[in-house]
Parts: sequence; structure tokens; C-alpha cells
Amino acid sequence: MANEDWFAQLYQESYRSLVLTAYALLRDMGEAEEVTQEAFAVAYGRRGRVSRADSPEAWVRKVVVNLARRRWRRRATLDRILHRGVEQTVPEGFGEHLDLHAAIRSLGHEYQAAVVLHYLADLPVDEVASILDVPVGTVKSRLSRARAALAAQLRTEEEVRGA
Amino acid sequence: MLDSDLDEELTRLREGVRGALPLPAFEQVVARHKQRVVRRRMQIGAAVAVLVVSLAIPLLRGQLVPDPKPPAAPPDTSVVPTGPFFNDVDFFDADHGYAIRTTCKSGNARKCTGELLATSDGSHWEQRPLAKPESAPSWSRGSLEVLGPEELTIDWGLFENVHIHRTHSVDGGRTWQTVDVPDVVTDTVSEIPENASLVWTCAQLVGGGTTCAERGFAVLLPGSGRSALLANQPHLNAMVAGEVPMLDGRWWVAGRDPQTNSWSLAISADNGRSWTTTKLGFRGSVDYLGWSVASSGGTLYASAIGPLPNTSNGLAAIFRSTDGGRTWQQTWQPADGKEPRRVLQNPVPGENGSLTINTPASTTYTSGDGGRTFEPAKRSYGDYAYRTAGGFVSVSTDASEAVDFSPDGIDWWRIKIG
Repeated sequence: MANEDWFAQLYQESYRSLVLTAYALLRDMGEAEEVTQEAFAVAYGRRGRVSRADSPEAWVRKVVVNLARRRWRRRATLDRILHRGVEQTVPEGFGEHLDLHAAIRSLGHEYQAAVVLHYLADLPVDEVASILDVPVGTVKSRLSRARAALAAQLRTEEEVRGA
Repeated sequence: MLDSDLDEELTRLREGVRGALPLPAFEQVVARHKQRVVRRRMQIGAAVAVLVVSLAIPLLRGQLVPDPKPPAAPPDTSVVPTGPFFNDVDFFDADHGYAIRTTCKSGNARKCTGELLATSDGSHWEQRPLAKPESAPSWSRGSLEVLGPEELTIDWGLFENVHIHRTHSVDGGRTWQTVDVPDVVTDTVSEIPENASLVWTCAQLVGGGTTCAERGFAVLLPGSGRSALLANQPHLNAMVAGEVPMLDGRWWVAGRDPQTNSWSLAISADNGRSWTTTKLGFRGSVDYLGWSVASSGGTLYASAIGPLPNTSNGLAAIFRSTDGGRTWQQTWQPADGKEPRRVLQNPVPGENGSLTINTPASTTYTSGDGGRTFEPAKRSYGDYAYRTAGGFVSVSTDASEAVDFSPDGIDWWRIKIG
């Protein structure tokens, strides 16, 4: 039972961060939650191996990232065949921060993914680089440019409101 | 805005989102794990059953000595399929076709490699270089458009980002040139040239960024591989267009009526110079529908795929027009217990007036009454079918060696690839 206690604790402490990791890749909160729950089910089946990992959370995150990419690839194929466009949804919790959310969504995907992983999922830059499969310097550059773009957009909106 | 203000905003956003995210009970993880175990046992059981039957039949016939090699391993249930699987298969005609096949090493989605295969006689395939632009994201997938027997483009995209990385070949994929595609296309053409395709493009960006606010379509031009807008486009929002003309040469576009927001269809019989646009009087419960229009013996069939209860890919509607798209009658409406329900493709019309549709449950249905009712067919073809310039292609999700091909939606044959 003690074995399950540590796993339950891992689940409670890292679930939300991992959902946001999946959200950075999938841009759909429903799918991100689904992928994260599936990843934890996979990890639970291999919890002996997970417990021996240097970082159990990193182990589950790797499964989340792989599942998210697999799901995205299927979705992209279907979207093309079914002539579907992009569905823009606003997840719960963004309600009081719609301006910032809209500003993040207006960034190129590479920038969006870096911002969501670093600022919302709270991952260090090297972990973001590993997930996005780019050098650390590239992540730093994307974050820097994204911050400049976000600040400029929010400043413009403040000016429009104040006018 | 100051840097520190932005940091505070981001911190509040993080806390807001995390606070709003529900945490399912831990028991659900355990229950889900148990379901996975049951599924896996069933998969292994099925594989063993197939193995036993395949060994037993020759033995009973006394024709073969059992192979001393160990039995095949159970199906790979690792989290990422290693493949190989088809990303895309496209035919210019029954002889000239191209396919991108992907393999992922060690079940790692980051270590996927693609290969381009080409045929010029419909049966023998050879490998050609798959030139991915350096600017394209490392694990982006390629999307083929065939513009001639020896001409094709590949778009390398990621997460539906508006920026397209495109390569173009006029010698059957032996050599490639990079094509510059602007995020918002502004060049125009008066009509759709012969062998051109209609491809997705972004009509309007969000606030000058790189996220698309309004989707549209562009003409992919043979000769250059560049994109251009039609000078006279249908006046619709959220447009999607058929990549290639219907069998009778007409083109179609679906979209939302700007005033009423109801779904509308536009049909062009003169290569996009003019359009007959008709409101369907069908609002649908969501904005997110996959449309397709196809012709068969003078009749047009339009179908929509979208979310239905318990499935995100349901057959939502079929419409029929016998006057070239001026009026449409809805023939199919989903209902509880009515099949087909979950589908991955729009129906394929045959020249004999039939409609055929595959389902991911490996059942193919046909309709002989214009889409009012469907019956299971005697033979099934893949998981999903789609139209290419050369005819219809039907693919199984995990297939890596063959697809089914039909020039007319009636006669199908299997094409081995590679």
C-alpha cells in the first residue's frame, strides 16, 4: 500500500503541470486531460520502474509527451482528410485572463509552446528544450521574443481601453 | 507594460488555470490501468488465436511441417507505434503515385524518419529523396500534393501553424526546390489552372501574430508550387475547399454564410471564375465540421462529419442535389442506433449511383437510395478513403505496405507500395 501512497502523491503533485505540458503540444485542454490520465494509467502499470527512475515525474512527462505527439499526428491526418480547420477553444481558468490568453494564442506555435511549458507548466528551460527537441538557446530566444510580443500586445490593449 | 507586470500576469494566469483544472480521483487512474490490462490481454489473446489457427490449418491438412522458429511476439503495445505507417498517399492517375511512409525508432516520436516512394506504372515503387527544409520543425510531418505525373509539393507543418515550409519538385521527387509561402497569400489568379489543387491557407491572422483567425483556401499552382488566391472567391466565412475537382470537373467550397452563419455550399463549373452558392439551412450544433462534395452521374452529394454523442467523428448529414448545386435536399440525419455513425471519411459515390463509406470498425456500408439508408457491404476497404486527382484512395490507419485504389468509386484494387 505504501507503494501506492507515493504514486498517489506523485499524481496529486504533478497532474496539473503535466496537463499543461500536454496542452502546450495539443492546444486542446480536453485532449490534454485525456492524454495525461492515460499516461498515469501507463505509469501505474509500471510503477516499480517509475519508482526507480531518477525523476518519476520526468518519467511520466515523457509518456505524456509521446502520447500527445501521437494524438496530434492522428488528428492532423484526420483534419486534412476531413477538411477541418483549427478549433479555437478557451479552457476554463483563462476567464479572468482572456487578454493574456489571446495574446499567447496569437504567438506562433513555437513561441506558444515555449511560453505554456515554461510559464504555465512551470518547467525549467532545459526541460522545455528537451520536450520541444531544440537547443536551450533556442528556447531562451523564443521566450525572450514571446515576452516582448506579449508585453507589446497587452500595452496596446491597455492604450485602446484608456483611449 | 513592465517586465515585472508581465511576470505577475503570467503567475496569476498559471495559478488561475491550475486552480480551475479538475483533479480526477486517484481511483480513476487505477481503474483505467485495469482497463488497459484487460485490453492488452485481449490483444495478446487475439494474436495467439491467429497464430494457433495459422499453424493448425496447414498441420491438419498435412501439407506443412511446423516451423521450428519461436512464435511471433505479441503485438507491440508500447506507447508510440514504431510503424511504418503512411503519412500520405496521393495519385495523379492510376499509374503515377507518391507516398510518404514514416518509421519511428524505439517507439520514440522524436526519432521518426520518413521516406518518399514513387511509382510511374502503378505497381513498381522506388525510393526518392524526402527533402525536408532546414527551417521545418524536426518532427513535422509532410503533406503531399501531386500536380502532375512528375510534379509534386510537400508542405511541412506543425500544429496547424500558419507558416508553411514547402518544397517543390518537377522531376518526380528526384530534386527539390524550396518555395516561399507567405503567411497570408495576396497573389491572385482569375481561374484554377489545369492540374492545380486547392489547399488550406490563412485568410486573416490574429492581431498581426502567426495564429490564424479566419481560414480560407488558395490555389496551388503547377509549374511554380506557389499559392495564389482566386480573384472571384465565394463570399463565405471559414471556408474549406475540395483539393481536387469532382469527377465531373466541378469544384466545391463549403463555408458559413456571413449573415446567417448557416452552412453553405458553393459550386463552380468554370474553374473558379464564378460560383453558385446555396445556403443549406443546416446550422449544425458545432462550428467544426468536415465537409466533402462529390459527383456521381450528374448528382451531387455533400456530406458533413462532426461530433455526435459518444464520438467526435460522426456522420452528421448527407445532402443531395440534382440541379448542379442550386438546391439541396438533406437525405441523412443521424439517430440513435442508426449506422454508420462513427466514420473517418465522407461517403464515396460510384458512377452507378451508390454511396460507399468505410468505418473504423472495419465495416463498409453502401447506400442505393441517395444516402437515406445504408447496408453493410460484402467487402470492406480500409479505415478511410479520400479523393485524389487520380481517383479514390482507401487506407488502413496502421497500413504500411498497401492501399486500395479506385478511379471511379466502384472498382477497387489493391496497390502494394514499396
